[in-house]
This record gives sequence, structure tokens and C-alpha cells, in this order.
Amino acid sequence: MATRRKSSSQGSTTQQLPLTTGADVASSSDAPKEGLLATNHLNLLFMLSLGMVPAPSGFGKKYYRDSLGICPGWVPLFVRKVFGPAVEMAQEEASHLRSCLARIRLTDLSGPVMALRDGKAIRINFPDEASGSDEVILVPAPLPTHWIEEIIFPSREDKAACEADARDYSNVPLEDFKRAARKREFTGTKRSSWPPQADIAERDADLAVPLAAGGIMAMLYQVANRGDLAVNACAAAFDPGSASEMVARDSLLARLPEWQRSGGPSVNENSIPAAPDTAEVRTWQRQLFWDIVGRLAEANSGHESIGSKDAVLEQIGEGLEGLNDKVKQKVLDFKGDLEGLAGFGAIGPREMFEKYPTPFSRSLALLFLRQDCDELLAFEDDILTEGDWLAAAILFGARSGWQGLPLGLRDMPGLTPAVSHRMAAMAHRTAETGISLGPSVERCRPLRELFQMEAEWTPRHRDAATEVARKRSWDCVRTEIVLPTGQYDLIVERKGIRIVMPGQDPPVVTKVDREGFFKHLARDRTSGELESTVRRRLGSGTKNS
Amino acid sequence: MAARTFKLPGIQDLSKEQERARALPLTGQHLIIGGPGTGKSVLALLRAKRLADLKRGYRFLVYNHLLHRSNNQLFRGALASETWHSWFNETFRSITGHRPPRLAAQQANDYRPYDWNRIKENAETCDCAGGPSRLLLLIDEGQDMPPEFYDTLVILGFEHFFVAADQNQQITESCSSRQQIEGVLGLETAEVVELRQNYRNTLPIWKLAMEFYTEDPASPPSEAPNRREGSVPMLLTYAPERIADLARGLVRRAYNRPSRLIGVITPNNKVRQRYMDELQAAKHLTREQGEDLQLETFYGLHRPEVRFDRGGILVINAQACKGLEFDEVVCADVDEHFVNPEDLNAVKKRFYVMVARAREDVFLFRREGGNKAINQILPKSQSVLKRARLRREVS
Repeated sequence: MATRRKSSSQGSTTQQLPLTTGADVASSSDAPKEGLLATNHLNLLFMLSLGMVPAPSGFGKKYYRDSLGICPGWVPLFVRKVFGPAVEMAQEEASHLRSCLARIRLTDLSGPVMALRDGKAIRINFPDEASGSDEVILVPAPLPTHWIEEIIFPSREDKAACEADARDYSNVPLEDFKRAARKREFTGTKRSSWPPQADIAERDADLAVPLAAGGIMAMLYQVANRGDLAVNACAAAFDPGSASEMVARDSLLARLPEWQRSGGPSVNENSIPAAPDTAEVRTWQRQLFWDIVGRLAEANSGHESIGSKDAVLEQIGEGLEGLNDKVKQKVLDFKGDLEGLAGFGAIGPREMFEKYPTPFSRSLALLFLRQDCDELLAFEDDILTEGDWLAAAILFGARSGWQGLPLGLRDMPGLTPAVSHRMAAMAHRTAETGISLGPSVERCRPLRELFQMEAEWTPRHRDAATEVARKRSWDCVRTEIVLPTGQYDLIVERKGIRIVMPGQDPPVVTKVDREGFFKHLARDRTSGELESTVRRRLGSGTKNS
Repeated sequence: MAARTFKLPGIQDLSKEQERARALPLTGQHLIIGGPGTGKSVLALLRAKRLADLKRGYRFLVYNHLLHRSNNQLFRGALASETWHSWFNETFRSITGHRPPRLAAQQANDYRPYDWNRIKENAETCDCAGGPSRLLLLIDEGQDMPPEFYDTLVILGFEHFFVAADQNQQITESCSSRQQIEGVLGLETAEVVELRQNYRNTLPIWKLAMEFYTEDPASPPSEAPNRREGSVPMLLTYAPERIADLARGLVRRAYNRPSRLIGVITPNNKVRQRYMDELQAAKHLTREQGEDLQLETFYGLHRPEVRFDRGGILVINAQACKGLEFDEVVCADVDEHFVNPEDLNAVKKRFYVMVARAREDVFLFRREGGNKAINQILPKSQSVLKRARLRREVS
């Protein structure tokens, strides 16, 4: 068994003997392009729901002993053949566990990892110092699940059982992954050197913030068709480095890129409004809003001992410190009304929205009124602005986290790999592992963005818009039939009117009112299936995994 | 009001022990034991869904009409569910050619109980080889069915059972003990899966429920749920003359959360009727909003068509709440519950069952100046049960 030792600081890459460096013995051409993770089907399904291959701590209480537990915090990937004892270990804990292997792509991985070479654990820089004789590569967790190229089972029966199990859950996207049954992959070497006798420091990558960031990405994607600010906010959530001016100018959203990059503000805005100047109040609201996002992320991860709504109220209470009396009273009134919403207060949603007309307050009211992301997206009130929806999407995304989202909110084309990659990259960035996951997967662009990329719609755009509008029965489609001059029979029937004319195929022109189209797009949810069709028509399809 | 439906669990929501129960073979004999809210019914429903996907013949049997209706509606009619009585009558008749024999009516309501001795005799003498053995039986709240029911099914040739039960929630006099079910199914105690982790409640609700848990070696306390969201339950004290305001607040709450089913659980018929009257009067609030609030009550033989697939308010007595699940529970006028100072556990058990019905929120209503005896069992800590008074006018 590997000797476990907690690293002195999170993300430390310090290792103990027997270690050598592989600097002089390998070149990147020797680096494996993929590795096999030996696990069981329930751990695997959990990973798929999480979007990441985590350390055992990332499974909460649901971790079943497997190769991930050998050196906690390190993902052991067998380079050629998986070791027999690792397969056996993965199904030992419970009789209903089924062995499986995840073939994980390593072509975009670089940075400090451990390698098992000639029975010794050595620290190497991957891929440059990897050797053809490396048997196992240990990579700091987490890894993005979209790197899983294939899931392999020992038999068809195991594969079918795992597929049936996945259908019992709301959040396991097994269908997105290639699956196969190949017994020979499991007849691995009977290595006695597994688990490795190496003193490798434990790691613990906290996934609360990356999962919240993933939830925020997904939810901002869900509301991204609501307007131009929404398109920009969605883009900033995925690619904070290229956030637009529009986002930077928004009082709440200005902090979104930083939060998505590092999980917290780079500077503490202590500009408490001594005088209730509007700008300062906005600054204060922004500070509090993102503090609340942080609390929601913590509450969702189980780090909080109280429920999320109470955590929000507590955070608002803490935010009162230092406020002048006038502002403090306003905030207390607001807090009281939120408590009323949570209980039996006299105020309803509409009165609440009218009384507190900012995205900050309206999004918090929604948080108290609706239980989950599906409920939020089903809610409609004309009084809510684009900014309100964006703020609410952020709060709900943080509260739910990526894992808390049902598949119906994740199955947009390209969303899962884009989020998975960014969550894992964020975890490595904040833990300072030195690991690079390579270039980000291209973010999936919301339909509004795709339809706005050209000033004038091309025939492709028109066809795609017509298809969406027809399938959703939107009233923005107009069809013109040009009839040549002549005599026609007009027959009124029970079903409608029939016109009989001589000749064939009069020219039919279908037009989509662009403005009406965007209005509908802003309000109606589209399915992942419809989005896939549209993307194919527009030529911007992305794989889902 | 908005639609409600059965939601699949997230993989993180099920505990290891629940996974063990979920993974049991589809055929054979299985018994799942667990306290309220430990996910027994969810596991049985997941199994039913899987059998339906596989197009395997199965029946999902429950004790009473209300649970049958609730399951059926939440599954949008896709569940092969029946009450055990109606299924048994029909099944016995189709196999033996006779209706199940019954005893003479023993009570004023003309109810004629099954004559289990003759039923078993008939079953033993009939030629019932083949057919029934293939049908998979999923039995929820299996402790409520009599042991002779299970005996008869075995005699008739049924072989595949998945029984979810809680022997500490028995509601009938002729119910089955764990040992009896184990015996009929031929199970060793070690083969029975015991569920301990709470599945239904949020952490704050579970904490309150545990305050009412009474030590019982036969029924270990459930372990904390994974669900962290939600608010601390609230004890709301109101002046009796303000009950109309309270009812309006409740109706408004239902309107604000249209997909939620709120169970108002009352200590007795008098309180049930009082709340029903006040809520009916307050209902105009939602009519003004163009919404139709589902507001129902049932008692005795009054069994209206409650829609469990819609939000609304259902007013019921404490005795009728077992086995049901609500998004929110309001324990109305808790000061009117009978408290025997010599046996506080009795009232604690009642509160345990009432509170454990709630998925998302719990409120306790108490009248100002009401009987203070109930205070003996209410937790003092505000972190477990917040205190508030009905202050503002609910317009």
C-alpha cells in the first residue's frame, strides 16, 4: 500500500523518496497518449455526473474503494495493461460493483506528475520526461471527464447493467460516452507491485467552487438567449479572459470573470457606503452578491452546517456591518421581506419585484421563491429584466452546482465538455498544481449569438430560424404564396379553406420576422435536440462529449 | 397550479445502503426495512420504472387509495400500481375461479374481513401452476398488509417479491412484522437491507424530526440526509383572532409556489374543519390572480379526488398522514395535540411522523394562550426551530 502523507499545503507537488527525476531519460515522443483508470461502475457514474475524475474526497460519502484511493488526490492511469490487483480492488467493497476501465486521453496534459518506473515512483514533467517504460502515470486530480475516450466493461452483461443503472439517475450522461465490452482488457498483468510502495503526498482539491462555476456556466447558457448582455455574460462565464466591455460595465456582472477564473474576487471591495451614494450602494451590493455566491457554493458542497437560504440571510446580516443607519434600515427591510417570502409574509413576488427593482434584490427573491434551476426557468414575470435573469441564473447555478443539474439542463450540444474542461482547469489553477489541461474546449455559443454573428441572415440562418420557429410554433413565421392571375376555386371546408388552381407549384416564400424571432428566443426554452439540429444547419455543430 | 412529477434522484443523493438495495436482482425475494423518509418508496419506484423499461410484468402494490393515487399521478399513469385489496381480489378470482372468501361483517360499516383460513384452503387446492410465478411484485409499506396475504401469494405460486416496510409505522391491526415477512420470503436477517440514511428531508427538517425521535431499539434513528438546502423549520405563534390572516398567508404561499403540495396536518377534526373553513374563505386571493388553487380535505368516507401531480393545499388529520409526502408540511395548532405527561413519547412519535412527511419546509403553528403542555417536547434551540409571531396584516 502506498504510504499516505498529507501534503503540507494544498497543491504542493513536493514528493518523498524513492524519487528520482526522469529528466534525462525521456522525450515527449515516449509520452503515452492515453491511460487506463481502473474503477467500478458506480464510481464511474459518479464521475460522469460530476464532470470530473476527482480525488476520493470528491465523492463525498459515496466513494467505493478503487485505484483512486491508492494515492489520494492522484489519478493513477495505467499506460499499457491495467494491473490485475487494481481491477480486483475496484470491485471488492460491495458485491454489486462491476469493474470497468476508463480510457483517458492524455494528449493535452502537461505539467508535474508522478510516474511508476521500474517499481519506483518518480516525479516527472509530463510529457517531456515521460518514458516508454513508465507503467503508471499519476496525475493530480481532477481530470475532465470529456477526456474519457471510451468506457470498457469485461462483458456485455456488465455494460448493459451499468447502462440500466445510469438511467436510474437524473444526472449521469453515460449515453454521451463510447462504451465497449472487451474482456481481454481486464486480463491484466498479475503485478504484485500494486499498490505501489511509494511515499506520495496526499492531495485534496476542493471542488466546491469549480462545481459552482460549472453550474453558473450552465445556467447562464440557459438564459443567454434573453438579450445581448446575456450573450456577453455567458461568454464571460466560459472565457473570463475575454469578457466584454458590456460585462465590465454592469454593476453585478463586472465580478463574474474573476469569480469564474479563481472563485473569488481579487480585491476586497470595502467601499461601504458612508453616504448612500448610488454608486457606492452598487459596489456594496456587488460585494455582497458575490459573497453570497461563495456561501451558496459552500452550502452546496456540504461545508456549511446550515441550509442555503439561512446562509444567505446570515451573509446579508454580516454585510450590514459598517453601513450607515439609513442604508442599514433599507437592507434590514429587504432582509425582513426575504424572510417573509420564506415564511408567511404579506408580500408576494410581484410586490417584491416592484419594491426592490434591482437584479441584486430580485435574484435573491427568486432564490427564496423557487427551489431549483428547472423551477426558475419555468418562472415568468414580465417585470423581470435581462439583468435580473442573469443574476438569478448565477445564484441558482452556484446553489445547484454542475452536479445538481439534471441532464435536461446539460444536454445542449458541446456544453458538457466545455464546462467539464473549465471546472477541472479551475481546480488545478486554484490549487496551483502546475498542471495544464491544454487549450480550452471551445465554449458553446447560445443560439442568439449564432443568429447574430452575421448582420444579415444568410439562407442558412433563415432556414434554421424557420425550423426553430415552426417546431416551437412561434408566430414570427409568415408564408407568402404568389398566385398568378387567373380563376381559382375557393372551397370552404370544416377543416379550413382549400384553393384549387390550375398548374403546379406556385412560388411559396417563408419569411421569419427577425425581431419576433429573437423575442421568442428570449422567452422560450429550446431542447438540446432542437439546438443540435439548428447548429447542424448553421454549420456550427459541436460534439457533446 | 403548476405540475408536479416524480423526479429521478441525482447519483449523489443515494447513499451506499440505498445503492445496495437498488442493485438487488430484479427477481427473487427482497425485503427493505427503513424508517420514514429513508427512501424505501423511491427505491421501489425506481425498480418499477426499470421493470417497465424492460417490459417485464410487475405490480406495484400499496395499502391505501391515497398512496396509489399519489404514485400513479406522479408517474403520469405509467405505473402498474394498485391497492393490494383490489389487486388481490382480482388475482385470487382469476387464479382460483372464486372470489376471496370473507367473514361476516363485524362492525357497523358492513366491512367483511377476509377469511384467510378459507382463502388459504382454496389456494392450496387450486391448480395454479405456471402463470403467477413470473409476475414481479413490488410492495410498498409492506408492513401494513397481513401476514396471511403473503402466505397466500406464496401458495398461489408467486415467487418474486420486493417488499419495502417499516415495522414501526404499522397502521393496521393485522399488519405483518419484519420477522413474519422474512419468514414468508425465506430470508435470513442478514439478507434484509436496512436503510438508515434519510433521503426525503432537508438537513434542517431532519434535525427537527430527530428532536422527536424516541429511542427504540427496533427502529434506529435515521442518519443525516445529504440535502443541505432549505430553511430551519419555524414555530409561528398567532393570536387566535388572526387565523384568517394566517390562512391568507398560507394561500398566498401556495400561490407563490404553485408546484408545491402543502400538507396542513391537524390534531383533530375540529381544527381540520376550522382550517378548511378559513382557507376556503382566503381562497379568493388566488382566484383574483386567475389561478385555481387546489384545496382539499378528507376525513371519514369523504375522499375527494386529490391531485398529487399538482400543487395546492391538502388539509388532513395527523392519523391520515402516514406514508404521504408533501413538499411542505404545516403542523397546525400544535397546542391542541393531546399530551399525556406520563407518556410524552406518544406525542413525540406523532410529531416525528408529521414532520418527516416534508421534503422542503416545515412550519408549526401555535395559538397564543393555547395549551402549553406541548412546549415540553418542542426544541428550544432557534437553530433547530425558529420562533416567530404573526405580526403584519396579510392583505
